[in-house]
Amino acid sequence: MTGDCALYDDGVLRITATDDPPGLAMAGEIDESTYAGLCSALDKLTDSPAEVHVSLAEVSYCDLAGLRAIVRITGAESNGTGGLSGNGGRRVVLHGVPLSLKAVLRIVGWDSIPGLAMDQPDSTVPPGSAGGSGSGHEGVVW
Amino acid sequence: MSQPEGAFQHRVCVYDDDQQFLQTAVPFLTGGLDRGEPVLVVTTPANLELLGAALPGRSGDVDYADSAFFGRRPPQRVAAFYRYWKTRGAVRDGSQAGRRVRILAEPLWAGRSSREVRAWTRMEAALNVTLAPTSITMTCLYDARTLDQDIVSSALCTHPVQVVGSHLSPSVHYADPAAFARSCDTGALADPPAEAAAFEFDGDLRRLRRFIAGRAAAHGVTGDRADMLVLAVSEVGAYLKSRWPASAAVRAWEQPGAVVCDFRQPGASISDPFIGLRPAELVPGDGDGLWLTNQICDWMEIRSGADGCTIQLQVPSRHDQEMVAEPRIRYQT
Repeated sequence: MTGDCALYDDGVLRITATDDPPGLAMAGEIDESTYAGLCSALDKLTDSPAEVHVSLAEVSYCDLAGLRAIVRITGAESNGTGGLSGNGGRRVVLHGVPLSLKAVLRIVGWDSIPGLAMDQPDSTVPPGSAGGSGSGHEGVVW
Repeated sequence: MSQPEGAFQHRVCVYDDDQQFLQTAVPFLTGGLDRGEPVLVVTTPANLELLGAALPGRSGDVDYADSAFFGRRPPQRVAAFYRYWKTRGAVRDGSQAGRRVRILAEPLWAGRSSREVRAWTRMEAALNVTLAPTSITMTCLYDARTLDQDIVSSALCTHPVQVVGSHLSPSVHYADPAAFARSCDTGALADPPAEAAAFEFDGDLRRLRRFIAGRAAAHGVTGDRADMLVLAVSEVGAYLKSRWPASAAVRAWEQPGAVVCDFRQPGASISDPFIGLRPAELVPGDGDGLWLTNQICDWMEIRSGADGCTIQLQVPSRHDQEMVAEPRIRYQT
């Protein structure tokens, strides 16, 4: 990622634009103090290609509002009758999603938003392998 | 009925035997199936079997869940109902209103602590408000053979309509949901013990997260479970910070079965008894962060009083073997 351009960096959250694949890489903490920076970086994606990749591998914290902002770059809106529409039509691939954020996506139901995909990095514990090995709290599957 | 089509409809049926159960449940379900509505049954294994036999040839069209696992706790139960409506009732690609869905629901009461009974009773009141935007027709079953009279009496206060067989009638005991919920919130929350770790939250969420992460580690809550606790606590901090400028006193301690985090916000008052129960959406809503906290924690309790408000969270301690064996169960919605 050398040579990638930092779109935002306040010492807490750093967002860089990536060319290959096209998208953003985020590192640090996303909460209300970095929300404006996050949104300004996401706004820069508006004329970007139909598929955008966002790396969250280096994100150590992301609140619900931040996650919502990221998910909404798919163009998805709640259509008011309970359904999710993906009319924006952009495919968003999330990379390196921490397990706790995967759990949040599942809890809030955004994991099934049309157009949202998650890669399957090796940080994901294979189903069925959690907890049974006596390994304490490591590799908990949410 | 008095409620307009499109509104959430919440009915109660108190039954004395299997026959009475079936007399109400079967026409409710077949009526939905006849209209092409998605139909969900959430009840005991015994009643699931009863219904399977009573709906020959049609039980394959009915969605079902064991009541013990369809939302393990009241906030998760609300979310589970809401999600069912969203996924099965919604129209995905147009502006039409979603379909009505029918839900036959029977909460479990046996073996619950009085605190849990209060929480589930309170949820029944909350459904009238939190599911108001949905087009769910819900009939809740109460088994008079096994339930304490108090539980049955409360059910008549939390459901606007009673149903027997196919006959609907207004419940004369129906109480304003917010007033009912507030009446459930009168018990004092535990005061932090002297040995609790203390932190002054002055609005710096990063410092708050460091504090609770440190406490989680000290109590042996690690990995993803610690991350989830940090999320839950930070969302409470963000909510308080957005409304009240004064610092809040935060304490954390361990008690049997739980790690507890307690916020005391001076001068604050939270008047909405259903804050944190309305499912979060892609469009931001008031209290979304507290909703997430409520989904993550075993307990989120709020009290407002003369000297401010208290928000108390509990998550399972490291000794909880269910979290080791079946970590997802507590978080399934």
